[in-house]
Amino acid sequence: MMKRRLIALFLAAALTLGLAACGKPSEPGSTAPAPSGSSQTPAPGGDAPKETITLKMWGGVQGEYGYDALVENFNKEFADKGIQVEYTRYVNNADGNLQLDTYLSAGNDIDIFMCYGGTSRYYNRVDGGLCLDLTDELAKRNFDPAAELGANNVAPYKIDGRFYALPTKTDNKAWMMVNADMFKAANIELPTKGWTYAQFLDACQKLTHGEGLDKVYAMRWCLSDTKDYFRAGVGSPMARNSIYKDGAKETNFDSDIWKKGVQLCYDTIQSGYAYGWDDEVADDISFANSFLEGKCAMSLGIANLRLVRDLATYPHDFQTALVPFPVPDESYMKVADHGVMSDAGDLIVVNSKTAYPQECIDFIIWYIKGGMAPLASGGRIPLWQGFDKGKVVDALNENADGVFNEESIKAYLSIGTGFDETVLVTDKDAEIETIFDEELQAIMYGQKTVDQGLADMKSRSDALLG
Amino acid sequence: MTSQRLRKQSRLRSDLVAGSFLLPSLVGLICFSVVPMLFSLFISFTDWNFLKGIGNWNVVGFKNFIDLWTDQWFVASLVNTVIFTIVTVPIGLFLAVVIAVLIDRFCAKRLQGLVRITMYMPKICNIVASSAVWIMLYSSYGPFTLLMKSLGWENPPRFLVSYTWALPAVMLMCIWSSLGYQVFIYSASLTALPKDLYEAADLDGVNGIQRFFYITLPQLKPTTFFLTITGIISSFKVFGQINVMTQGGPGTSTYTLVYYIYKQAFSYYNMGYASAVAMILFLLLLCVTVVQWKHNKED
Repeated sequence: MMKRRLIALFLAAALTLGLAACGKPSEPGSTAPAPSGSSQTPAPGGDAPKETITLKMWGGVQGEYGYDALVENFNKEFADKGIQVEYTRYVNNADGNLQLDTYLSAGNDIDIFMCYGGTSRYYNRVDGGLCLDLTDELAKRNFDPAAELGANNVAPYKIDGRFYALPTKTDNKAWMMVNADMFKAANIELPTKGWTYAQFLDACQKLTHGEGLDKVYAMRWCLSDTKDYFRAGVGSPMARNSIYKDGAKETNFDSDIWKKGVQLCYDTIQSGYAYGWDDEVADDISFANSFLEGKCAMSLGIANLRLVRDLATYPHDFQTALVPFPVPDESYMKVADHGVMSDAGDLIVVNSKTAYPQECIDFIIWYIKGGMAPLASGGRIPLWQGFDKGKVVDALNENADGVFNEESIKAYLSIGTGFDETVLVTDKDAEIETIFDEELQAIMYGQKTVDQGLADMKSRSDALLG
Repeated sequence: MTSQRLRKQSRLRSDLVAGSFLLPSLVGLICFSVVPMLFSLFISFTDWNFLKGIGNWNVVGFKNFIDLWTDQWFVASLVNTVIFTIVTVPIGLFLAVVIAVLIDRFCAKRLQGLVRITMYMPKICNIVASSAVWIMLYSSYGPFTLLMKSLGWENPPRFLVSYTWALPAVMLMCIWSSLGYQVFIYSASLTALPKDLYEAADLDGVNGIQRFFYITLPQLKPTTFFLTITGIISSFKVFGQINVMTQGGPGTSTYTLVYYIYKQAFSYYNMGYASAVAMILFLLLLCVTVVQWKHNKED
């Protein structure tokens, strides 16, 4: 009898503990994430407590590259209005986006999120009903996206005349970072106004030297990472629609421009001027352990600009300059600054299931109209037309004086932004990116010739579109 | 009459007790296995995209199942999975039985347990952690590459980034990680083998190799059969090692069925198509299970 009672007591205790563990944490100091919501805080003067709303924001950039300061500024400015923001970083890769999409589909734990990867992922999320229609609320607040951010910049994000997100920053993936000191030592003028493939190859030859572990490569193509930069650089002479043509009924991979660009990459690898794809993967060659350690003179991946000024983590004593990706030949020099590739990105989106749509829209307007300034030090240039771009140079130089070649930064900031053609997208963008990667890899590994690889790239992609 | 009613009541009570013990498992099985399986079967006939939410789908009939056979990724995944199974299962089993016999015959009794437990360790290690270790072993400065260089191979292959070597490299890792478990099972079976057979063989002057092939192996047939079936099933489901070590590459050289299901479902969000691939995998595993079932019945 006693034994039965003991067992019953044990089971009851276990059940209580189990249910308690499933409950909402109420103790201070709990590490479990709390859902977005409101709390009662005493109003100044000891009146009735005022409700404070805490908005949950998810973005793909580490807090220390500007978001910590941004959140601090907002929370100070909006403390008396009862709105606060909490920032959570998600990793902007396939797994991280899956995590974000799962959270968004499941409920309202996220109020605001940053959407990356151009229009493809954005269109899918709008299609899935995850993004709040901002159009009417923006109009009520007299915020005209076309006037504030540039008509061309916002055009790709308008769906049937409605805005479900706003782009916040501008960058140009067709520009790359170079070691200005190495260029100077090799007696090569910084090509801030543009250069051709032939000039690029000549520079590669001059910049490559050494053997074994001491070898300094001219170029890192960023092949083990995203191929967005390679696609932007090579495809730029075809303007925004380098992937699709004929209303996205077929791909553009039979273009001579693709052939020349892929051949250039292949030639630099074969000549030992650039890391091979297998080198980058097998030896884990990153921007940090190659370019920032002075082991290569040029690198794609403009988003890594934030790492260049992080001297505490990546100490180095050379100057970094920005130069455009080369163009096939002299006939393309008129588009050598790749102005057409200037991208309006980092979409700010409000979750359609948020409980606080008004407060979220207040936040995104604040964010766009100067609130995001701390991100400039991390290389994210605000798109807002009212933002003084001169501040970007100051922000980049803050605590990192002399790290950047100012002239080249100014050249980068002065290129035209926007474009006036409709960017073609399909629901097969992700699969076609995978095909591009696989066929490019086969070419770079010597499994296929450039012609064969590009032909297969086209036939496989077109089959998906068909 | 009364005793019959009492018996009925007693049986009802024992049924209720048994049912109450089974209920939690049954609820779990229905909620987490049966319902998702039926749901997966249904959506394999639709074009459902994960982002569009439940209910936003079109029924497309057998389209997904027809498209599979012209899909280069699916064909590569199927071929790689079959090769993976054909290579890893027999090699793994052969190594396991040899090691189990060697431990049984030549290892000091006191150390046998320790050796088996040590060999079992990879099985309980986290797949991500052990895969990360193997990535380092295979790296350009890892022991495999250095060993090959010391043996005179000037440019040894870069295992995980080679079209030719990536799949064998992952296979080797998988054989290593499951070897301990197989040795454990074989060792348990070896201790249960009748000793008189070996004594009779000793009297007849049988040597060690003959003893292994004519007595030990035939006696271990049921164990070998069990390990073959479970090995085939786990080989068909290989995912973690691929996702960590190669992510299907280079090209499609290490794509497997489960990796492709993951890719379609969680990279492209094509849940309908991914479910169709999952159904094909289910049918393949069902065939293997039916063989095992029949074999057990015959035994």
